[in-house]
Amino acid sequence: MFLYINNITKSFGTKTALKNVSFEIEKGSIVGLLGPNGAGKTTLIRSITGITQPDNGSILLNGNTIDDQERRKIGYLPEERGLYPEMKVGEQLLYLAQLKGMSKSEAKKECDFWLEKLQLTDRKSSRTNELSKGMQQKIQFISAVIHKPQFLILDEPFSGFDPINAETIKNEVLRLKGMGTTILLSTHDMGSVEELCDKVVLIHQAQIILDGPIDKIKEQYRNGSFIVRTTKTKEDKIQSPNFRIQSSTMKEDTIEWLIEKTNKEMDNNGFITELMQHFQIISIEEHLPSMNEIFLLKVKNDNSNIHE
Amino acid sequence: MNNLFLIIKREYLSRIRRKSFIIMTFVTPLIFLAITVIPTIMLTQESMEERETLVLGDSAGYYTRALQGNPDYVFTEGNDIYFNETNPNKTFFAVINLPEQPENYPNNILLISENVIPTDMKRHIDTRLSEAASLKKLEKASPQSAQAYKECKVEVNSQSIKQYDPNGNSEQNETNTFVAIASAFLIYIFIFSYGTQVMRGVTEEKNNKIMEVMFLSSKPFQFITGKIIGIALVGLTQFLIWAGIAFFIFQFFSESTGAYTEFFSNFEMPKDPSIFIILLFFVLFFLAGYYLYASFFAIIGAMSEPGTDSQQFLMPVTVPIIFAIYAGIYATYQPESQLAVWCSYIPLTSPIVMMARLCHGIDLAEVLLSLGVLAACALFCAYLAGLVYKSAILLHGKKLTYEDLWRFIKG
Repeated sequence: MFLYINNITKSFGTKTALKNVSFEIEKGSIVGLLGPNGAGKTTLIRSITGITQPDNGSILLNGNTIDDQERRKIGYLPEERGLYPEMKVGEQLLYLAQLKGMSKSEAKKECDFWLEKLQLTDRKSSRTNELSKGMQQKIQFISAVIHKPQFLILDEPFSGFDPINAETIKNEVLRLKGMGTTILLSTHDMGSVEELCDKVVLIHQAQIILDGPIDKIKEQYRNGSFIVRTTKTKEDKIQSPNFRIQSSTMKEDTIEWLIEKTNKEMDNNGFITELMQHFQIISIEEHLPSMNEIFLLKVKNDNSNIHE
Repeated sequence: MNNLFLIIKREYLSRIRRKSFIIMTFVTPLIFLAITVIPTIMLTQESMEERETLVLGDSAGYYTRALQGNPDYVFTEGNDIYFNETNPNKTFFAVINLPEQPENYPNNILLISENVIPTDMKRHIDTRLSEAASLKKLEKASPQSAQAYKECKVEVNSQSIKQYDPNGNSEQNETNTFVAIASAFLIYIFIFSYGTQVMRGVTEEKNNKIMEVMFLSSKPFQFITGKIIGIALVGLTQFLIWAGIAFFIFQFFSESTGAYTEFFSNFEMPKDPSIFIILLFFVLFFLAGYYLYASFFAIIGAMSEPGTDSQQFLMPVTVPIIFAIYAGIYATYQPESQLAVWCSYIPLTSPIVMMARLCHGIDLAEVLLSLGVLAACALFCAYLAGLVYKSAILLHGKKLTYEDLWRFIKG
């Protein structure tokens, strides 16, 4: 395992920010760190970066405790961005890269590479505060990756980007993954989680409530719902003991239904036969829950368990 | 070490490139010029009318007549009896006391005054007395030849001394006091001007999430120390530029008015301890004192939010430094008093008070001990500032309290 977080606990006064948190990240994978606001994600990231020390437990990177040397192998893009506003873009990137231990010539080379890649070469001599917010976001992203970190922590990396720039950054994240970089992606954007992540860790109220590969989690949370596209029907009320209509969307000549198979004993052929009695079916496919739905379901369930 | 150098370089370059640095560097000397030179010139003009000098020991009036001729200075021949009986309330700018046969004892001519004797006045007196004494000697010589003229040439160098000087070394003491007080104020001004820059810089950075990233590459102690040193270098650059500007201004004004040369002509460097020792320790105390106070300012900066009132945190730093100024002034007059001795060891006051005592000559071991305590304390405080700086990031957006501070220090 590349990152090994073992049973860490962190409290601030009477408030517990992390409670017995354990998970692992494989080398070269992207792991989504999910959780509602105030769940403990930032404290976890700060524990990994060494800004705060856990009260208990251990964190190992590449099998080593995270000392100054290991810390330099981490790239970090915090949620609240910050750059030196009066510094020129090129100087700023050189400074940050050199602080991470790069030689000046190597830092210059990487700086030019990234500025060209993100179409900012002509802004190299501009002061950072003269750039648009989106451009500053890109500079911030470059500052996190310029020193070729082995482990990259991205906290809401796509917020503030237009769809085109968000796509560019997503592609770069995937490219870095392809080069062997291990990435921890903290975000509320479930779409990007599904697109990029191999695994998710869901934290709620200081504890991990869900941890695993996305496809397995989706499999685990499948509830026998199907998306059924039919022609328009004249039937007013469709009722059956074997299924329940969850929603319907009118299209031009068709209707798209979300139907849950309530009779779990019934096989799919029987279910389709049943449907055919009520609809003129055009197409049918199983509906797997999105990460957003799983997130909402898990967090709401967890809240109601706590209140009970 | 490399990172510390990078941080110092960034802090230094980013500040000296600012427009505010360039404007302040060139505007401040103009302000100083306005508040120092103009009153001095006005004072010089005013005092011209009062520069009447009494010449004693010249009953024949020969030398007094020789001294006349400069509209700025009036010379009156007289003696104590003349002075007391004719006009007991009359005051003179200076008194020239001539020995018997001044032409034979040109180095025994005394120029006594309560005031600072302007250089051009002394030059005038010496030149005229030299001419008159040479002529007097020449009159007695025979035959009068070019050779005799050469032999009779007298060079007067009147001894300028202050009145009411029982030990004959009041100039030395005053110079010491001047050096001590000037050093104290220089340290005070530097600490406040540049210490508050450290404070503002830390507050800005604390609220700029870049520091969260920076801690992955360097230690908080390095950031604090780098910032403090970088800003100190900015200050020293500014002081050097000011010194250069001041040098040219003094040159210009000394040519045109003589106002400054008359001041500096009477400024004698302290002989014990030597000026080099004083300068060396001034630099060391100056840097260590600045480092200590800048660390305190960094702690305050880490505890403050931009736009919020950081005055409550400034008080504990301001009070000791103001107390140190008073203790320093006291120590220039009573260098061996209990207060002066204690304050010269306590790090919060020692940069100023030890300088005041040092100018009066004290045991080197005492100075080194004081400097050692100060340096150790400054390093410890910078380390502490780093801890608070790092911890304060966790409290971004929340106002830090003294309880938080204590928790950080303990933790």
